[in-house]
Amino acid sequence: MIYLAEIIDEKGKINYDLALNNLKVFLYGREGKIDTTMKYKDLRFYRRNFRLVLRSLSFPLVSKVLSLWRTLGYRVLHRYFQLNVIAVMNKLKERAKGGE
Amino acid sequence: MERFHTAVKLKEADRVPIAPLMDYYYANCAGITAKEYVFGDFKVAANAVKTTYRRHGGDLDMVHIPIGRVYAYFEPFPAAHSGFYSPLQVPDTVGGSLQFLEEPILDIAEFDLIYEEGFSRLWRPLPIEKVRRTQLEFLQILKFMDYWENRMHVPLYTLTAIITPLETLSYLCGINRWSKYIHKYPEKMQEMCDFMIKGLIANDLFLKKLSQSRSKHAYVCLERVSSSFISPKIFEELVLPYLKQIVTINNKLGYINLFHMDTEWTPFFEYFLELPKGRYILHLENSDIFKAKEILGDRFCLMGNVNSTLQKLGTPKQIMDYCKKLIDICGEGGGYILGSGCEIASDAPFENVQAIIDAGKKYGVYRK
Repeated sequence: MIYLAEIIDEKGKINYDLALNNLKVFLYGREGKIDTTMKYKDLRFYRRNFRLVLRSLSFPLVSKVLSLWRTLGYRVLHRYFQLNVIAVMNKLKERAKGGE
Repeated sequence: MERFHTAVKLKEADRVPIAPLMDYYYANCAGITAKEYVFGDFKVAANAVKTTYRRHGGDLDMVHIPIGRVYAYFEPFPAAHSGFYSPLQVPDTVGGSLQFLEEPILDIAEFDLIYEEGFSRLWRPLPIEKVRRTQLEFLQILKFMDYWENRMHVPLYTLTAIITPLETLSYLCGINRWSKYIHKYPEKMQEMCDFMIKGLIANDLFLKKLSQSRSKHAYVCLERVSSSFISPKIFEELVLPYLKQIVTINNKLGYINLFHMDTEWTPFFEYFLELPKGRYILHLENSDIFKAKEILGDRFCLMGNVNSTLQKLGTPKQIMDYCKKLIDICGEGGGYILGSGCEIASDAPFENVQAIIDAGKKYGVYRK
């Protein structure tokens, strides 16, 4: 239970830096290298599907995002996006090329 | 939503909540194929949920997100049915459901490589475009959630998911190898479970934060670590300690622990009394739910357990009779949600599902 005390304190406050690190180790290993650069093709996809993003927006959603921003902060959110979205795409591409 | 959560608090609401878990049945009820439901536009799947809710008279006290599509291309974590790890088959017929084609992809000799390179080592090649699209769908899932929770005031089954490490290994190693490893290399399995739990908890914490669900249900998958698969000793050593960690976090965050307990759990019921105090829903499938009421009923809310055979092959009368029994015994004093064992069979006849709802309305009233 030592780990529990590290990840969440008595008041329920979460150590998100540790959670991010655990996420990384789980998916990419203790020594695994990850590429967190967004590629041009991915950017093009998001640009092409911008209307889909707009269609999904609503007041409650925007307020949710703002609340996330307030509670997690830019750094944690950005890192999460890097690990769980960009790095996932890049790793999949790398595996598809057989260059793992 | 209030009716549902009153039951979770082990109290009596106006009537027993009616909450059969549905997923592919939504497609069947809306007359679309499983393939359209999983791979079509998200709007199609979301509309199938709305259509089902409407066709059943707006009496469902819970809905579920179209989860199959999330499993297919969204879940880089080895959740039970993740398409990142094993191929999935989705039939192009009405009444079909997604099939997870389980193949052993992890050998115990590779555990050291997993520690070094992580589970992404096991990912299959996937169509990048579909993965991107599914990632983007997360926004629509949030919108879907907002519609049901805030506009319709109907709770969602869950938006988070965690699975115990040992069970996760069963999907990756395959049942035969997994059973052998548990008995031959318990230390190595424990070491791997210790490694995995941190990442699984981290993933779940982020899912909770990102979804910010009002329902606050924390789904814990308990399917292959029941008495149908493992001995009490293995449960004590390789499951219970991790389950305690998971629920401790859920309790601290004010979440309701929603245990999705497929297969047979009756011989393990006593272990649940060791879990810390908190709010729980035990969603039972093939366990003896009446025994559960006797042993666990004063601490745990029970949910279930009209099984899929009865849903598919029974008559509406047989279903209503079984639901009456469930309500009479498990509903006594509150703390009971009328539901399916696991989920509603994708090809269950409409009138049989309606029979569950009718039974809830007819026999489940606590006060008028």
